[in-house]
Amino acid sequence: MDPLEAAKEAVRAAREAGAGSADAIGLSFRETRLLVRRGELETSQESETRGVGVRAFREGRTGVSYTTDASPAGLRRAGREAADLAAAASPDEAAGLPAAADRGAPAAIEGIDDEAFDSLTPEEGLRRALAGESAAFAEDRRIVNSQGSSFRASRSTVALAASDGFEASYRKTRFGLEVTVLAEDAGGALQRDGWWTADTALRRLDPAESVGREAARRTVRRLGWRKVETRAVPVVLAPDVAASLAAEVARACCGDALVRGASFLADSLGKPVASPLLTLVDDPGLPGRLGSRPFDGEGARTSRKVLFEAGVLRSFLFDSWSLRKLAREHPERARGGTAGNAARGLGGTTSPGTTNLFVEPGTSNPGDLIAGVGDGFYVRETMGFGVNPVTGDYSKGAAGLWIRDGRLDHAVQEVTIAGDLRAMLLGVDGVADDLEFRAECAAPTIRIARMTVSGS
Amino acid sequence: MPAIPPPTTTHGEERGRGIAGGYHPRVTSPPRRLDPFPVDAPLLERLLAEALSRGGDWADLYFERRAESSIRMEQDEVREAAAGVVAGVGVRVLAGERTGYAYTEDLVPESMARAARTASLVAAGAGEEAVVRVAEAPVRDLYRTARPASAEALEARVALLRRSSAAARGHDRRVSRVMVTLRDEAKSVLVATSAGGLFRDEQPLLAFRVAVVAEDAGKGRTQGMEGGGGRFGLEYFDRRPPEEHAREAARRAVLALGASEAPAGPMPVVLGPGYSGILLHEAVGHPLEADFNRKGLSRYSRQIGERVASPLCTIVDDGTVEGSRGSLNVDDEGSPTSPTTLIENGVLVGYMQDRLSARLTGAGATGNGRRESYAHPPMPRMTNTCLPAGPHDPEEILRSVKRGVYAASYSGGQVDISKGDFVFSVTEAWLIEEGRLTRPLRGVTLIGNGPDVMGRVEMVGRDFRLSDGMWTCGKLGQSVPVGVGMPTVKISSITVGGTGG
Repeated sequence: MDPLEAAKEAVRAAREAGAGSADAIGLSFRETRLLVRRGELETSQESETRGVGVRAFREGRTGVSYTTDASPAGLRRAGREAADLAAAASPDEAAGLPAAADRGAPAAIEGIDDEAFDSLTPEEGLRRALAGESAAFAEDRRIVNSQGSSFRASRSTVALAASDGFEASYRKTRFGLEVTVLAEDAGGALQRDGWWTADTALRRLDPAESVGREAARRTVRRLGWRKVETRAVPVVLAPDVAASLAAEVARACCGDALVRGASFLADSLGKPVASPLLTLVDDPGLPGRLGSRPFDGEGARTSRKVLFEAGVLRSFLFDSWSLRKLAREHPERARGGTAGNAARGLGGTTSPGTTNLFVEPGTSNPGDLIAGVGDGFYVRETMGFGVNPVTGDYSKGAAGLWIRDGRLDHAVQEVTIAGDLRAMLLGVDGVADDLEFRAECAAPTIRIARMTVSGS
Repeated sequence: MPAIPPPTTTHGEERGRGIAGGYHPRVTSPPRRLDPFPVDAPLLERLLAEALSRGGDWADLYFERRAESSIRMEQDEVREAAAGVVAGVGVRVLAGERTGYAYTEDLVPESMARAARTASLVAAGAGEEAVVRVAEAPVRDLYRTARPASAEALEARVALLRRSSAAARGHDRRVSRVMVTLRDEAKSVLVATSAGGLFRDEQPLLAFRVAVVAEDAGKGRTQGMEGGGGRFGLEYFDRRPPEEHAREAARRAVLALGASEAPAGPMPVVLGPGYSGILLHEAVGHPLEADFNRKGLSRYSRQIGERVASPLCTIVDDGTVEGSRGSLNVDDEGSPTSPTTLIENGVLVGYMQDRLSARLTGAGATGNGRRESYAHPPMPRMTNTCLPAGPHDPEEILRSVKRGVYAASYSGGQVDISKGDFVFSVTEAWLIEEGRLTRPLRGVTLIGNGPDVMGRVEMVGRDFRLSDGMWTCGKLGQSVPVGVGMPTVKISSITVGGTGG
């Protein structure tokens, strides 16, 4: 199936069935996954999948249909069904294709489709997975077991066609290696941790051996852990944890949350909401990055958006519906906004989301951020769903290392960190220079002046 | 080095044709087409033989056709009506501890045979002739539906959403935004195994959800949610009218407006009936899945027969609860579901098995082999995880706490299976003072260690309740619907993660 041709066919069918306008996303995806465990292949998985999702608009009413049946009859059925379903929806002036002003030629993004995908052999994937795991075992004799080492390579093709003539497609590859191992302490208690590398280009993956060694180091660092007493202390967030905090904050910057009043940032456009040290950016145009894309889920032009500029809330993330809806209901919140952030899967309509989301690096050395703390908590992992984007309440399970006299001391687990997102953002008193794009969402080490650590 | 499939399998076409040519329908009546899939028993037999053509201990085919529909209402307007059909077949081959997996959405013999060959490559054996004969086995019916919700008129479904939306707005003037979603799926499943099993099931699933934002000058904005559903059609709403979900979501949103900061540190916690079952799901459910235990990855590995919880605790995973979201007539590998006792009076007695783990450890199947879809190999998963009623009066449980937290509803939980640490995020919590609920709390997280917390279960109420169907469990990238249930339970001490003292 050619995803673009399939999308065009579905759009034609929707129009013929009475849709005033329509668009369709055509997806195809191929993936090889290899999981090894204790030196042996455990699972070999081949995926090859495709699908088309159609949106039909009839006088502001939205109907959606999707299918994995790529036959001409299947595509026509989906187009017709979307148009039929639209009749059941309510008219909404904000619904529809992106405005002409939000269209535009898709950006050319370098380096997101690696031709190494075509020549990659399963043996090479297997070699990397085995090398990663054995490096972990070799690194430390306290590594006693493995949950597995997995190698994945995939290519997705995303196509979009709309009744206003927009048609475009792009391909993106993704490669990844992840090693998860277990360490045992003297008493026989297990600790599990891991490490990974992921990139759009095979050659940019970290060497398997270094991934394995880091997985082992992180796992044994958990041994000898202690709970700590409940108290308020400075908290240093490791890059991955800081990145997940950035993602939580970005959720509150999404247009649909603003329309619903479901964001603690809804009324703060143009106001200082974070420390002047914090600049938060979403940039779909970065060459070679995992979150990059030339157009969004409804074919709107993408652009770099600075959400926080030195702590001041500057822009929100919109798809065309949330932008138009917000402009009608709360024009002051939509001021200066542009579409281009639509995320879209096979089923359902769009919602705003992030692409490459990152916190601009600061000037401090991460070691200096830790050295500046007398007694505090260096957080390497958070757990749970305790972030409320409506109220800003934040409370998560956490694990990491205790900081004593400016140095990393014993491991800490079974504690929570809690605060209020507003106070946490304003309380950032250090941003390090160690930004690395290891995933779609990235951040350097960040220090927050004070959070409640709840333990014993 | 084991043989593994190249990204594109083009070789082996010839052999595929050879098998097709060697296919002779059995005598008498022509083979019956197994609707809605374009296959008959002889074709299934050929595909299974192809899957085992390089050896292996087991092969299965999982055909799935999922017809989904959803309606989203926002502020009384139908924002979107959607529907879709997803269909495919997954082929799995087990060889020792190895799994080969491939799938296709082209349900034509050539593509299906190619997927079978790709999966077969995981077995490195010589190509001996495999002969498989399948016969359809009867499957019981635990689902309480005459027909799926998507078969009902769109207007009838929209009317239910309108009733709900109106009830939420009418509940309190501070309700500012109401979003109601109704989703349903009608899933046709066919499992064929190299042991000769052929199972068909029609699995309905209905999910209803109301989200409310409340707003009050000076107190800001809050949200409240409530959901429900299960293996039902629209008759679900005869049991629980859509107004109930709406009022509950609105009550939670408004309650949160006046909620105060949660305390921090260890204290007694009373878990309310029903929803609190997600504690069992995280704290003991996941760590008792057989794959983790077989590989020595779980906190509970090699502990059968040992005391792992308070004697008041019996934990059962039961895929046969009629109508419940986690129930299945037959699991995704063709094993009938069953009530499986995991912990009996505090002693670990069993794990949840899929075929692979059961075979490798010599255990019996428990009906816990589940998968997200045809694109995913099965693994041991929970169905409905429950703690049955105990001896205590729920009022008495509350009265026994001088100062602590009462947890009533949750947004979710997570567990580290190796260490047994779990976390869960509470959306409705109350402070308990002198045996009474005194004020609502915000931002509560509970954190603990499975065996440790289960050992601190001090009282178990008589008021067992099954949570209404709203939970989806994620494991290694696969999501499946599950159910949970328990009575009021008191835990003598668990760490509460708030900001207050």
